[in-house]
Amino acid sequence: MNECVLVVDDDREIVKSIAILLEKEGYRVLKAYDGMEALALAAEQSVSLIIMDVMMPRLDGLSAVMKIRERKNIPIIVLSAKSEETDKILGLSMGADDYVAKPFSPQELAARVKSHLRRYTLLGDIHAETREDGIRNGRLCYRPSERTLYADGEPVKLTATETKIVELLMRNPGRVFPAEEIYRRVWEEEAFQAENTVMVHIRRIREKIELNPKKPEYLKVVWGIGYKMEKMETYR
Amino acid sequence: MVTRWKKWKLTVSFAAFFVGMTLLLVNFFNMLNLLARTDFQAGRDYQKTEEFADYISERLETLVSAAVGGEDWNGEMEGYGTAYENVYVYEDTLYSGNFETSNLFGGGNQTEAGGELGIAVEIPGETEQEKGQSYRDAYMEELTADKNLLFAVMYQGKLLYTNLDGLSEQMEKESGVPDFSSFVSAKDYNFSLCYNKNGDGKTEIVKDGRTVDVYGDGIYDSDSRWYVPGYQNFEVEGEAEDVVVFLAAAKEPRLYLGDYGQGSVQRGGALYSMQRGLLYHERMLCTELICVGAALLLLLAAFRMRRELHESRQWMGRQLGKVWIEIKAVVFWGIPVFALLFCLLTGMLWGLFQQQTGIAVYFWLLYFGFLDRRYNKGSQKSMLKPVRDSLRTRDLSRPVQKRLVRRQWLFFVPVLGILLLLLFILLILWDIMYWNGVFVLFLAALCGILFLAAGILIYMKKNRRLAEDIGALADRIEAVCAGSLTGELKLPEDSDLRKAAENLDTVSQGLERALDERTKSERMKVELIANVSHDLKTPLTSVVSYIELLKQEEELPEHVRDYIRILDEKAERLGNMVQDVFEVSKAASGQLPVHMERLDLAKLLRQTLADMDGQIEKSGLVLRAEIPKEAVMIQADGQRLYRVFQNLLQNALQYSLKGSRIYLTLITDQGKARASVKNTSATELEAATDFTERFVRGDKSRTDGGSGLGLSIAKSFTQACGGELLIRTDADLFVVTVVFPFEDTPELSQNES
Repeated sequence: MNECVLVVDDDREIVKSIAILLEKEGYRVLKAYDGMEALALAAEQSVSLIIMDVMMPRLDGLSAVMKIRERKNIPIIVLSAKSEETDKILGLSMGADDYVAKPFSPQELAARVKSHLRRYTLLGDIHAETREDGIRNGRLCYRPSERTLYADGEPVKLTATETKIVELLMRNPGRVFPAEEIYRRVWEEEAFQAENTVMVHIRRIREKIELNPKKPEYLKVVWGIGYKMEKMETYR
Repeated sequence: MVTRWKKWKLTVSFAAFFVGMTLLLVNFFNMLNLLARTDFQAGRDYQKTEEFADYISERLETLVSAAVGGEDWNGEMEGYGTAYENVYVYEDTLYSGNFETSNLFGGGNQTEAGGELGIAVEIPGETEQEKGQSYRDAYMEELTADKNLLFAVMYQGKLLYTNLDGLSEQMEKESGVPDFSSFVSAKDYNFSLCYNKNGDGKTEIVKDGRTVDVYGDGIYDSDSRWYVPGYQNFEVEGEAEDVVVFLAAAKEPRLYLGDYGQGSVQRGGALYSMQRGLLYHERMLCTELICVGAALLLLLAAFRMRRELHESRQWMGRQLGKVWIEIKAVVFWGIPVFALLFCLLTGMLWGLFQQQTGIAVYFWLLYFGFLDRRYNKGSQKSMLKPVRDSLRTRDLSRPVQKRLVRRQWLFFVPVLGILLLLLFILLILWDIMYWNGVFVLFLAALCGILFLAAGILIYMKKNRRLAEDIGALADRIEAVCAGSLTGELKLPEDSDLRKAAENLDTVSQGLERALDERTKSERMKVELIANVSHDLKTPLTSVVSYIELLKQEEELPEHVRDYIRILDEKAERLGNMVQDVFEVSKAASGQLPVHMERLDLAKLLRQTLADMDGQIEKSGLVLRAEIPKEAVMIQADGQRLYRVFQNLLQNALQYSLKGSRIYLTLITDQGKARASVKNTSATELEAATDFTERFVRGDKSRTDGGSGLGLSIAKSFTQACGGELLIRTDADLFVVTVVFPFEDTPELSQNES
């Protein structure tokens, strides 16, 4: 059965373009053009995920998210033209699961929808719960026994070196590693041109695990200090 | 060599000036003095001096009176007039010839009366006649011993006194007036005087064998040289008519010493010193003339070297500038003024100026004083200055009201002191004089002082209030300066500064309003830009989305795919620009949130290079990095700083000349970390361009890919992080330097989770 995604934006063209994209991915799409409509549709239909714009007439996006959260526990992605940190934090605190700034890359949005839905459905999967628990961090999960990294429950194909880097970082989420240390611990030899080598690998890993490699969420450079795996909320 | 010669010349010029001037000052007045006193008519012949004429006249008078006195020395001699009285020269000292200091007989106790010649009170118990006789004898003995002046005195045909050899023997043989000159060697005694030789009361003078015209027109007046009887208005009467006197003066006077062993006595000093004095004068005058001549020559030389003299004066002035002004004041002004006052008070003023050395010293003191004033005006070194400065600094550290109140005492204390002094003087006067008038004056002064004191007290009180108000006003102004614009200064209604305080409040309120408005407008500007960028983003989202749909469309001709690719690129750039504009406006208005942390700038640069590796490679340019291995710790927002260097490097990659090199260097010096990006511009740089201005580009055509915001973002982000971004161009070399304060304790900073 196809999951149903509710797209809400007062800009009809945006809604239409997102709908086309998602339908191509095989989702069923419901459209709404203001907060009230969105509330009505969410109440009537069985909706798996909501994409909600913030600035809308009648009822704004954040209020609508709060209202929907009262009854439903589905992933909500908030769209906003505001790209500031404060706006993002506000959106997430209102109950949204994700925050995408306009103008967004349609592919990234599609990837996020897919990621959220996978996790949402996986949570309800009894099979998944019985499986060995790995190191969880947001949508990533590293299983040391398998030496495998799972993103949204799907294994990511990493080289041996990349796996070592990921293991090191996944075991210490939030801790900043200088390039030299990563080099020493992964290559097990003295650092030579550590910065460049490590950076190349980090970039490659990003391509494989980040939804938008240009705006990484997990593998981050801490400028002037080192690299870290951002500690994400493993939600719900 | 040249400088030494020059130094030498400077010294010489000043020495010439100094010596010449001193000589001139010392000797010029001396010379004038001597010139005035010199008897040029006399030459070296002392007998031609007036002094000699006076001496001889006096001798004649004395001898005549001695002869007339006879047994009775006290005889009347009124016929000779008052001047013809009582001067007997006491020739005891060698050089007393110029000044007749005392007389032999009177010892200073002579009476004024004309007839009382030579009365001395020291010899009691004898009659006046006897006394006169004994004095006369003593005097004659003195005269006899002095062979410079030969004499003979006859009275009524008898020889009374003489020191001519052989005359008395001759007189015993013959009576009548003898030919005195035959007893005198004409060679040694070239001057002779004979009084009343022919009984006519006239005087005959022969010098060097020639008779001298004594009487001239026959009338005695103050110009007449010889004070001898025989003029029409100066005739001898009575007993003096019977006197005959002969005098002869030596050509070369010498000293006659006698009574050795009984207290040496020098005789004949008067004529001797007269002659010596002439020679002495002559020599003195010669010396003075030579000195003045030398002085004039030296001054001339100094004048010829006036340029050097001027320089040496300047040098002297500079040297004087190194001396404390207090010392100079005492030496150059204090001593002369003090000396002047002292002389004035003691009545020695004339003495001071008679001393030529004194004049010279005065001149030089004043000269150096003026030199000092001329070259060191306003740049005097003072002993008291440090004291004064420290006092002033202490004064300045006090609030203005305290200062003003303290300053009042400067006025009040001296006034009080003077008043008290006045009171004290009056009190003493009253005590000394027992004069009621003073008592009244004292009371009046007391009343006056009390009134004055009361007035001063009221004045001070008022002033104190004014000072407090000024202080309050000054505090308020300071507060306004420091930025505290709210609040009001309340001064009492009757305060002198009420109006000023109100005006200040108006000003600060106006300022506050203006500041408010500026902040508001700044905020509004940012809001406007935020809104605009927000409003741009919504349609941009559609554009991006539909481009994505287009890209996914299959079976499109190749050229359409190309169009879509261009659209995609431009849409992305537009998105970046919108974001850049938003950020740069926030940063410019100081609203950019920054997360400051301790980070290693060297590492940040290496990371940035690693991050941009692909871009650098693609550009075909070579990047040379000189980054120290050691950590260069600074305080900054890493994310923002990365954007700074990203922008700088992108800028360099974009605008560099093909095939040229880009240099990225990091150095630390003087507590600063300096990271520079240097590149050679492909296009010619305009020197006066401010590259950090928004939308300014080296290439004005704007056809390249840049937003024109790169450097602007770099600059505003650097500043937001507390650093400094400097741009320098040198021909086509473009250098951007980011400067941060460097924390020199390099430790590895790690964020432990």
